[in-house]
Amino acid sequence: MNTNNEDEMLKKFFGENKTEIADNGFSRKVMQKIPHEQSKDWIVWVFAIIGMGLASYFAISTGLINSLLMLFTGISVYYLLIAVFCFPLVTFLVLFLQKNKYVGLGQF
Amino acid sequence: MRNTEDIRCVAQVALFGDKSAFDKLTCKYQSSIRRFFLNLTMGDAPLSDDLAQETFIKAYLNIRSFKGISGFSTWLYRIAYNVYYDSVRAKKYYSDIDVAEIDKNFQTNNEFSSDKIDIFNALKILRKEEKTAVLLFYMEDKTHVEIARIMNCPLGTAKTYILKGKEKLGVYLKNAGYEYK
Repeated sequence: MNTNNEDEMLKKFFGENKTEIADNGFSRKVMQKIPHEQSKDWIVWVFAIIGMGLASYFAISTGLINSLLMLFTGISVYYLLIAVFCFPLVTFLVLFLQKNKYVGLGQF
Repeated sequence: MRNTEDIRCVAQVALFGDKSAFDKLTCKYQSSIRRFFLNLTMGDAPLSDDLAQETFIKAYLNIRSFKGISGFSTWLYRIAYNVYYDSVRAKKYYSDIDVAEIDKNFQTNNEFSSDKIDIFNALKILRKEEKTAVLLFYMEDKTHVEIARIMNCPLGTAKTYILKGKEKLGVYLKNAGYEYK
């Protein structure tokens, strides 16, 4: 018997004996035996609070907040109003262009 | 579930300890891993389930060491292979006992033994390494490279195990009157 025939014969033999084993609660048992790990979410909160504290400290101590306030108060009210009105217009324009782009792609 | 989905599940387990993602992986691979052990242990279903359970728990505990170079399935089989050989080594203490004789007298009866007796008898004629390589190649559809990774041996050695196992099984099945075609 040549190697190819042997190969085919073994593939057939193992194929005939290959069965799918039903779970029958096996996965549940595995999940029950997995050791419980404590949540590490608190680390994120600790670093977030430390980061915010440091940022606030430097902003206040270097006078950054004051200079920002001075900058905003120095801007003309008309410029601020124009910015407030332009913001939704620009947003709608971008959304409109994006929608058209996807419609255009959909035609191909 | 594709390979990318496996990696997504692995990332969820490794980063967030997401147990439901690991449950998905367990459900997906339980059948193949349990079948692999069932064939290695000659149909001992309780033992193969224990070994499979140990494999999945080890996989969960060491999931951060999975680099994604090979597929998750290959990595899982590598753990299974180690778990099996650790258990074999642990039982070496009893090596003076005639295991074949015990197998004959106390053949494990379970839902698989009646229709699997041929394959278990056929696998008995192979050496441990040949049996593992042949099962991975013909039963679990692993490639030569994957088998070499699972068995942690050179590619040529893995190919030799398969070739020798194939030759032995070919002769055995031919003599046993196995009908091919």
